[in-house]
Amino acid sequence: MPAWLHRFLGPRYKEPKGILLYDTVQEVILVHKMLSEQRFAVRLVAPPPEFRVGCDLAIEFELLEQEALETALAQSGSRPVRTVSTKQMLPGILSEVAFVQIDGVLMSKAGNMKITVNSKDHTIVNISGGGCPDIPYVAMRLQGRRLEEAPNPVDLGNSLCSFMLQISFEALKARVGPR
Amino acid sequence: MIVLIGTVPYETGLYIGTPELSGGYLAVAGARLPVGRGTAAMAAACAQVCSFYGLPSPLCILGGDVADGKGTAMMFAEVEDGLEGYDASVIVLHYLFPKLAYAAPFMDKLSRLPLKPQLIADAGGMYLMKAAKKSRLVDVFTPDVAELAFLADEFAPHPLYVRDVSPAATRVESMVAEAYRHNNAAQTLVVKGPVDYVYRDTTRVGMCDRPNIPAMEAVGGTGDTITGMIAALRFRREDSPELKALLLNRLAGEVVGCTPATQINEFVDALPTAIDRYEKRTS
Repeated sequence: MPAWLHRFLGPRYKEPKGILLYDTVQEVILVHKMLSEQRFAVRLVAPPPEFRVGCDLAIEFELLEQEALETALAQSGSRPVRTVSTKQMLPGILSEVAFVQIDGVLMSKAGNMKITVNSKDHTIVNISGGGCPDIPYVAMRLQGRRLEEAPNPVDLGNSLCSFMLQISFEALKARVGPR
Repeated sequence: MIVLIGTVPYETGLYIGTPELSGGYLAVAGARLPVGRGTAAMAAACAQVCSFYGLPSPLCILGGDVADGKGTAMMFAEVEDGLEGYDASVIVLHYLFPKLAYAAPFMDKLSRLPLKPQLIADAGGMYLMKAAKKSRLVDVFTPDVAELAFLADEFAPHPLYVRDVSPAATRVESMVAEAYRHNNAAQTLVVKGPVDYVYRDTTRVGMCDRPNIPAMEAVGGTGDTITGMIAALRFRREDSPELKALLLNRLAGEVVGCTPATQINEFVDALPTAIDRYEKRTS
């Protein structure tokens, strides 16, 4: 089905939703965190097809909350590049994580991003998957560090693959617990 | 000539030249790149296969990109200006910062060459071709099973947005069918996983599951080496380049005694031994 037809026939919201668009994935992640902490009903989604320029991320919000949300964004200096509304249901992000144990290591997988740690000392022994250009750099910086001391992948990279790696990283941290 | 196009996590700039491999590093036009995962691993594996069989070294067109997209933009500008001068018969489009605006001019350029080169797209190159709806013009995609779920999902713009999260490894056949049905598959699909599969236009033409080395899934870059080897073996006009690349990768894992902590440069170093074993077994 072509995208334009999907917009007419695809799944739709009962009420329109607002979408905040930013230039970078990192900005989206930071603003989403800030708005969630302030208990706004927000969700990370793919931008509407007509606003996609590549691999992007956007924030969905309830139009009912628009005024309060815009005030919060203005106060924090985080105004979006653009705010749009949509009736079309947009894809939400993947959040399922699977774990695999092999030969004394534990691997967590979020989509195609995998991170593997030594089960005993929690040293990151390998990172695999991901087709975004920052992944080789992010992997290089994380590898050999203990999970508890390693920086957040999203502080090092700004792609959707880094964000998926963050999901995998956080799940693994929660799974192994503090050491 | 084989032309390898992709970004590397290196100082912003353009690095064009044939690669030299030594001591776990790949040198291209003054850039010294660790053979970690990504484009460097792909290029190193391609260079190893070329060297073993006495093929000309591949030409690398690398964008030094620190994830701000500048290196990717420089890389596509170079390709747009100079692709006809490279005498490319096989092209790999690998790691990059996907922007839809790059896809159409790149494919136009390719189609206007006197002899259209074979195009292999992996990583960001594959994401870009799917998003731009150019997948059917590509000769080979090399997804892992999670990326296959992304190709099968008609509307997912990135693997992060795949809607069906049930275990992908059990649904390979149906996901391949969906990917082809929505025109989101290349002519040949190489699906990497515990069992590797090769599909050509919806038909399964081969699989590879030996030697079985579960630890390989953890090793970053094992998909990249497969892509580089396919490029070299297609250039060599092998009968089953994809199946051979998959087997050589597993043989390299066997040579290094792969564990979850093995690094991809060890695989690259082991490739000549793995190819030698393969040739002795099949001769």
